[in-house]
Amino acid sequence: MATIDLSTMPIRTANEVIKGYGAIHKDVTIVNPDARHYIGVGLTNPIAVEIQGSAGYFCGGLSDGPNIHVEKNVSWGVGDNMLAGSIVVEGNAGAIAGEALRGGEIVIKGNMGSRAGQVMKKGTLFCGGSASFMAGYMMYGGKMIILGNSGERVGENMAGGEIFIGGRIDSLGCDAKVIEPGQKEIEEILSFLERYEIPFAGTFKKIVNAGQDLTYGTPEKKNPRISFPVFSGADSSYWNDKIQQDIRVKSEIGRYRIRGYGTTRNIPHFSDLAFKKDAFSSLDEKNELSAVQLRTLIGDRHGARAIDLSMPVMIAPMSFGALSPVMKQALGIASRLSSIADNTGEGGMYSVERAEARQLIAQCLSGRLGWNIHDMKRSDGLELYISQGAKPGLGGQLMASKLTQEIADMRGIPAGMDLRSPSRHPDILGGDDLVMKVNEFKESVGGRLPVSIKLGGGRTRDDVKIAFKDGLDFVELDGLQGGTGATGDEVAEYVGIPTISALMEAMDGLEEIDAGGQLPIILMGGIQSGIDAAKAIALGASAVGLGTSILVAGGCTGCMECSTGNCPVGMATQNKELTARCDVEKVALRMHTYLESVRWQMAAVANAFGYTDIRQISRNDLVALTPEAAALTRLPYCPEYRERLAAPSDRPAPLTVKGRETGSANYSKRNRNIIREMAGTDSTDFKGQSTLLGQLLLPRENPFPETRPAHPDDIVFLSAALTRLVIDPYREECATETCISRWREIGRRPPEIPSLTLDEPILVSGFDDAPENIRVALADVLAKKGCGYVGRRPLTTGTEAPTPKWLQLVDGTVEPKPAADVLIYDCRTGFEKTPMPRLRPDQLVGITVTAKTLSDSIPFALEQQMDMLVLDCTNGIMAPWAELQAPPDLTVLRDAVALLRKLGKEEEIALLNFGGMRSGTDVAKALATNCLASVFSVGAGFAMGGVLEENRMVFPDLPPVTTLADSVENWIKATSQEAAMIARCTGKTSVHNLEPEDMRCITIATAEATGLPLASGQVKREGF
Amino acid sequence: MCAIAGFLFKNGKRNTLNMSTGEALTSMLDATLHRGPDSAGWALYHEPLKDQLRIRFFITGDRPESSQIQEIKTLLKKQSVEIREEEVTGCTFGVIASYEGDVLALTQAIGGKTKLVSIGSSLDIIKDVGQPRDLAAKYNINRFNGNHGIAHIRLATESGVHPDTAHPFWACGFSDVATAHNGQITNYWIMRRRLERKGMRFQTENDTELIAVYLAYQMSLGTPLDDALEYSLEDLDGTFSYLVATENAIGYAKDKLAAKPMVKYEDDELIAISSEEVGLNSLFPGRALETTEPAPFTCGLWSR
Repeated sequence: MATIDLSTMPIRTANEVIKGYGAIHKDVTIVNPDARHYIGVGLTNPIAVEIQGSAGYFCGGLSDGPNIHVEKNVSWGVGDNMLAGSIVVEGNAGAIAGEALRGGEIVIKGNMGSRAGQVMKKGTLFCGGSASFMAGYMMYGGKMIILGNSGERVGENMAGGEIFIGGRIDSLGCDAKVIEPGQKEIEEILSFLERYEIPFAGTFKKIVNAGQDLTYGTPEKKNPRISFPVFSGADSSYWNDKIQQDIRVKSEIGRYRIRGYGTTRNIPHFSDLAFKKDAFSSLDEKNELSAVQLRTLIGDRHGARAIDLSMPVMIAPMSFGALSPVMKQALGIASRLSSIADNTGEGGMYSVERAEARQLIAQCLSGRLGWNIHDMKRSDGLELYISQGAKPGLGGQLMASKLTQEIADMRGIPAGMDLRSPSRHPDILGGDDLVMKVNEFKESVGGRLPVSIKLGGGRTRDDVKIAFKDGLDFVELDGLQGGTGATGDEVAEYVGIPTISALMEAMDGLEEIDAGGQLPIILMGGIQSGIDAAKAIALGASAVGLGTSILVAGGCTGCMECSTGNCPVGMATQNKELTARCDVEKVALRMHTYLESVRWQMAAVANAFGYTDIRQISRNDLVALTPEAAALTRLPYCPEYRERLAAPSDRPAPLTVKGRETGSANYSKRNRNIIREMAGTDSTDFKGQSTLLGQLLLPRENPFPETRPAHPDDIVFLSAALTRLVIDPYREECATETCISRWREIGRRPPEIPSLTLDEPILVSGFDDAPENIRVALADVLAKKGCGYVGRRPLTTGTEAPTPKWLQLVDGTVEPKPAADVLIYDCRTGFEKTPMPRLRPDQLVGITVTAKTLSDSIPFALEQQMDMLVLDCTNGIMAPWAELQAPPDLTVLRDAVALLRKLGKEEEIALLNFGGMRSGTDVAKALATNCLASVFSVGAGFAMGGVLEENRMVFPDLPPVTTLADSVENWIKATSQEAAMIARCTGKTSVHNLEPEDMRCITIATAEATGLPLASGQVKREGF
Repeated sequence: MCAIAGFLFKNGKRNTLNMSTGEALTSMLDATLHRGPDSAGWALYHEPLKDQLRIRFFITGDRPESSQIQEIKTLLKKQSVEIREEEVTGCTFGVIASYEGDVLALTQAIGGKTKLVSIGSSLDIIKDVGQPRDLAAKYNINRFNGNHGIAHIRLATESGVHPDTAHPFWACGFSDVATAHNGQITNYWIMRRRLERKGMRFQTENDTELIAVYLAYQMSLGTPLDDALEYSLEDLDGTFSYLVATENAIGYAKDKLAAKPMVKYEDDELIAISSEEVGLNSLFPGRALETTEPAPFTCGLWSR
């Protein structure tokens, strides 16, 4: 037996020495371990390792086959991702013992810390003492045995596997249930105990998945795809068909919508920038474009073997599962032919793709699906996924229709569930844990592979600093426009910052810590051509990633059905009939040809400037064509370049586009046609390439002309990533309870101050004169869901059933009623300081406030000790369907909050908002602006089948009350869920903790109307 | 995003540990250095002074040191604070002074005009940009052998890297109360504005300062520290494992997600708290220790 003394030998060396003994099957004793981290990480031989003392983080992690014995304690993550072998710990284990375990046995004789066995898939995790909270959190399989007490919320969100408890069950987690264990199972446990000489005389209870939450309930019916100009751009109407469809679908399925693709609306993008030199007019067949240096090495800043790219382009990570086997194979081939790097995406390494790709980055996600030491070693780079542009804050999703047995086996999870991967890693809960994970990865492969991180744009300025300090080799940074196979629609649209902003924030962040140029950024998110790529590089990116665009090149039709598994071209499906339509060679060649066009275009741009290396290009070579793009990138605004590029006689005419537009502004018909042409035009075809280049250089129309008003759609949220911890929107709680009161201080509210408590921050108004069925249904559901009604008269159910909270609107036409929970005096026609009394001491009282009245009415309301204000962003809440008259005036919220803040009374009166509310995301935006609840009207009408008729809403069909009630209940559930989802993405456990600081704007008009900053563009932050 | 360390001798006996209190804190920080390379700090609790205070100020690099010290002296004199001893160490100016008035009033009078690090009859906070071993030498930390202290190393997240954004933070205005924190408060601005409306002062945009100020505010309402710790579990959102120290005690609070690590070792004579067991092991090399991890959504307080 060999001996290693860790008081004298560094752990990196020690691990190599241990692996050396492993290679010759010689056992090892470790002395003076003193809780050092990473002992035995990456060991793949069945040798015995005796640790004489305590071990630190990840003892025996990422291993296969060792037999490790620890004399005392282990810290976090013992046996992380072990495939086989055993680890015996005589003392206690820290948190996440046996995380992501895939086989073998971990025996902890003492107690174990919280979240033991998180996302474990196979093998046995034994604890002789008691567990702490959430043992078996999100476990997918395997066996856990706890002789002592279970700890709180045992089996929380377990999808598979079994937990046996010898002691007390402190409390059961979500979707877990207790059953009686079988005789055979008990015998197996007893023989296990005998094998490890552990005495036990008690009995066992068994905990398994309760099966309530493995799949989504009602599936979404196929709905017509709506062309993007309907809901985005200058001509879209506020209550457009997309909004109506969203509300109607939510009233059917009772949850947020899910779809594939990225952001569908217009976002400021690279297409709003132009090069100062016109690459088209500089074209000359005699130019040697191949002489332009494009080769890029990435990932060696800490001594690892660099990824070697023939041009600064990578394939973006896309999972085997989201994509079909043929498509993954084709990506491997295309990446090899173009000599760039491919990426596994989530869910493990598909060996056929590995065989085809020359360089393959292995992506590690939170669920550790398919992750193992052998595939890590087979890869050319390791990527830790923190978040992605399409869904920052959410984990990956794979619907049951695509989770076939083959894919489930590879991932190590049960088939047939609607897989919602965890939103964060078990062991990366901040920048300080990230460095430990990075080190574990480096230890497991001896530091030979680059370790990178994938980040969705958001708090990028701070996140990249952490990535830099934590020793990452590069960052894959994804903007809002990034695509995906399945995500929540609202998160895809409204969480994250535009790709150009993400890049700017990354550059600024690194500059702030004097690390500019030292951490390569691979930019992704809506990049479609060599022109986009060259612009990204000019702004500071080291390379770009291509995802959706390369699928389009391969033949994707943009139907956006990716999540359903019905991909008509066999790319994003596992259905064998459909995948048969995908010819691997043909698709691979098209994607390769597309990549070569990208290469040609990058070289052509560099050549136009006379550069011999693409890296000579800089932001000095760029201008902005729109005020938004200028503000976000700090490039000069030069609209005159628009005319210069606008089709002089010698260049190709703009592509004419026929038929209905696509559902995605970023992949409009025109853009899609160009990508397809690129995939069919050989790089030696000078004329064809020139035409394409000419097309690509034509700027798009400004999607945000001056006529577009400030719009809530142009506000986005910053999600948590590294600086903050995301609260898992699929499973962790987020409080929505809402207490409306003029008292919001620290401590306990004095009893004499009245308050109104709602279960959800949602109120409905405008149904005073609606058909009776609708009023009854609304009354039933608002009462049941703990929401309130705002109106001149109360909603009544017509039965004994409880009625909803009533916030009475009082104007000249009605008398204030003592029965109302709140009296809201209407002051829309002008504000006069008349008495507006409460009729009983525990009744709340408030007024409506408009842009015109707020400067007088707010001080008065405060003086009168009123409880609340209704910030009315319409022409007047009393008018029927007031919201239909005009888009909401966002300045009311801005000015009311600013005035209250100026008076130092921001929280001494409750704020409600009315006008333009459509979704839970809109609620989140109002709450973040300091409102306590939002009042819906037209939105609720759509949920109950209302249709627009000129400027009012009518109900042509009147279904029975129960049907209407189901619809409205579903809609409230979905709306509340959306608001909570956004809050969790930003790291909050209560929707009321959303803050203005969590929001950014993507248009100047909206930034002005709301007082919120733009998504990027500000110069160095104060204090740095 | 950091590592924390806390240390307390329970009954004055010192047979089990072969190092000074300062060395013990530094050693725990150094062993967990990977968690926070940006800055380090210590809240050291000396023997309490009678009718005297230890006051420490930051000296900034932008103006001559002597003029800043002169300004501080003038300010103190105006508040009838009589300096008995003074020292310039690193980026700080520290005094021991006689003062009979209220510390909160003193803080409010001088707080906006100078950068206070800490005030206490017992507490002295030392913090700076850099790593713990180097700073310990620079500030003579290892000579400190008082009864207890807390310490911290930081990986900056949402505020910059300066001496004044290093931890621990003094509960501005409240004598002898300091906090060190690992995690991120996600309702920072809501809570900050709420506290500012109550007249509480903030010197940085660091969320740990918020914890310190929050606890100070609670105590100003007459809430005992152990209750304030408990209320903080509800009022603060995000992730945290934080330590608090007073003249006689150290305490902790841990959020409901248990996202931030904290390990405790306790024997008859002492309590040591570190973010990782490797920190505790650095106090007792070669020994296998009995350690425990506090449960989520709990808090605790240990007195000497």
